[in-house]
Amino acid sequence: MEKVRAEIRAAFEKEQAAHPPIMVLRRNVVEAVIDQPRRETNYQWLAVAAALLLGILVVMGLMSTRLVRPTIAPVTHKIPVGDLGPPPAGVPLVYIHDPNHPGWLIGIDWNGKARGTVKFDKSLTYLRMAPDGSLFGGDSQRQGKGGITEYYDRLGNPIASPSSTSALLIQPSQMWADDNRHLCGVSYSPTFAWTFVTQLPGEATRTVGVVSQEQGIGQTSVSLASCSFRNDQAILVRIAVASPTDMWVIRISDGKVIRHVTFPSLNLATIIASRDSAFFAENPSKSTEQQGPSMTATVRRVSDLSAVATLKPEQGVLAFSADDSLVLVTTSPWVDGVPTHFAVIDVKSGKVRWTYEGQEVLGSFLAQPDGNGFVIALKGSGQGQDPARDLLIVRGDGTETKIPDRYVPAW
Amino acid sequence: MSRTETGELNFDALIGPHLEAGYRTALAFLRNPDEAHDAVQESAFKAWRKLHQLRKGSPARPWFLAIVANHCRSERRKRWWSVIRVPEVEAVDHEMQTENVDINRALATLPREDRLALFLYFYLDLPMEEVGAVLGVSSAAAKMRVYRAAKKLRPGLEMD
Repeated sequence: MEKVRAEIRAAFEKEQAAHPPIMVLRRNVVEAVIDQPRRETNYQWLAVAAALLLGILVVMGLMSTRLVRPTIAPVTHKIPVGDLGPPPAGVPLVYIHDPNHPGWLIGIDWNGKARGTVKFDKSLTYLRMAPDGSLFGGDSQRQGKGGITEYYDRLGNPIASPSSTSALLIQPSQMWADDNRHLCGVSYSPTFAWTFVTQLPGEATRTVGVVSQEQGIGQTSVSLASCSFRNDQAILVRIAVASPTDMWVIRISDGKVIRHVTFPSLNLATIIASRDSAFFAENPSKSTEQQGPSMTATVRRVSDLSAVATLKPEQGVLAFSADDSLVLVTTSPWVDGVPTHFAVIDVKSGKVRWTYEGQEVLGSFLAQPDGNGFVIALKGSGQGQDPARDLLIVRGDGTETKIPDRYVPAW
Repeated sequence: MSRTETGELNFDALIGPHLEAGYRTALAFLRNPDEAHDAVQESAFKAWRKLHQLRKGSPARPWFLAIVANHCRSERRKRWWSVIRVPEVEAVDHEMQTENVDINRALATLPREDRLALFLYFYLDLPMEEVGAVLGVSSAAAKMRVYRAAKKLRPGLEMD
């Protein structure tokens, strides 16, 4: 069956590749739809539909006997690597590096199953995926093009850029937007301006606006906490001497500052925002250090700054789930070389859905782009420079899948 | 924020992520990119009007893809002349292995409903429950349909 699956997928892939959707499909369709009036509810049709649904349910009840799909079981076998064929369309995947083929990435789904291979030139470095795996960026070292970021579609085909020098480098201070298509970044100019910019791979960078203008190189920096094209707002944070001092909520479409919040106390370690820029968490310094004043991390709503949850002093928010219902938190200070303990907590109820109290150190993490799971990369406390990680997929219901073996993540 | 803006955000958040899958499904069914773009736009209009029918918490993807599939079926029924049209999505690589050439040709000659079942399951990787929801049958029936369609391509195939 697997061989047939690969053959059928490859055949469809060939058909689909000849006629990809237009780049602005989503925007065009949504804009056209919103201009249309919505029809009032027709209860006669609803009654007919309900009768039909009842009939279908009866038939389904009669037909579903032995062929019901089993529930998801933990992955107990090794992840297959190598050429698994093109990855499926429309399925969010998490990419890891194929240990046997430099430049190849293996896409695994959120159940831990390997679904496809994307092959890149092995000279590309710093390969990074968009959160849903639909785009990639990598630094080209070919033919003297050292350090230039190139972009690729989900099958690894290059996306032409109008000017390679205008490409945003995918560095920690930059991020993919919540639409998984745009890149957002903050640039620092010789005129001491921190400027918020965005870019659609294949297009020129767009300046949204200057956020702050100051000379404190080395002492201050401005970075992105979130960038939501779906909600048309981004959150940027100014850090001074390793502590957040300011937060700006900026409308992406016109660069207007919607809200400016200052944090006069230097007892905060980080500001973490949800991908849709609707919530943010103030993490106390104790969440990243062994010592510090006893403060609690607070999750706030961006619209009115009201507190929606308060954590314990040693806890700090690492990430929000895509639906904002859960937070991934450290339950012990995240200090390099010391085993990190963490948990997934329901924001509304405070209920702990999942915990980790093992001996490994948190490496990196990624929130599931269309659900409420997280993937977490762990490294051994004495691992040194080896980039391979143990990978844990944690789902919103508290179940987890540990990927066998260690892999280098591509996020 | 106006109601229109709120509606746009809700619609974009719910259906936006599935528009590409909708286009691809329409392309697999209709085999014409212009018709597929029209189909996904028309299906989005229908989804917008019927958004209240999507129960809170129910997955939007199979619901929207079912609308796309129904729209495509309806379009085919309208166009009696479509039976003599030459498929426009056809690209056979001469260097391709013989086995793959066979499967390309075999796929092209499959009935559209069989192609749709295979596309949803093997290409979009939908779980069988969602394949069933799009096809309007139970997951068990969907599994059987996928298996029978795949067996037409590979007669010796055994079900997992």
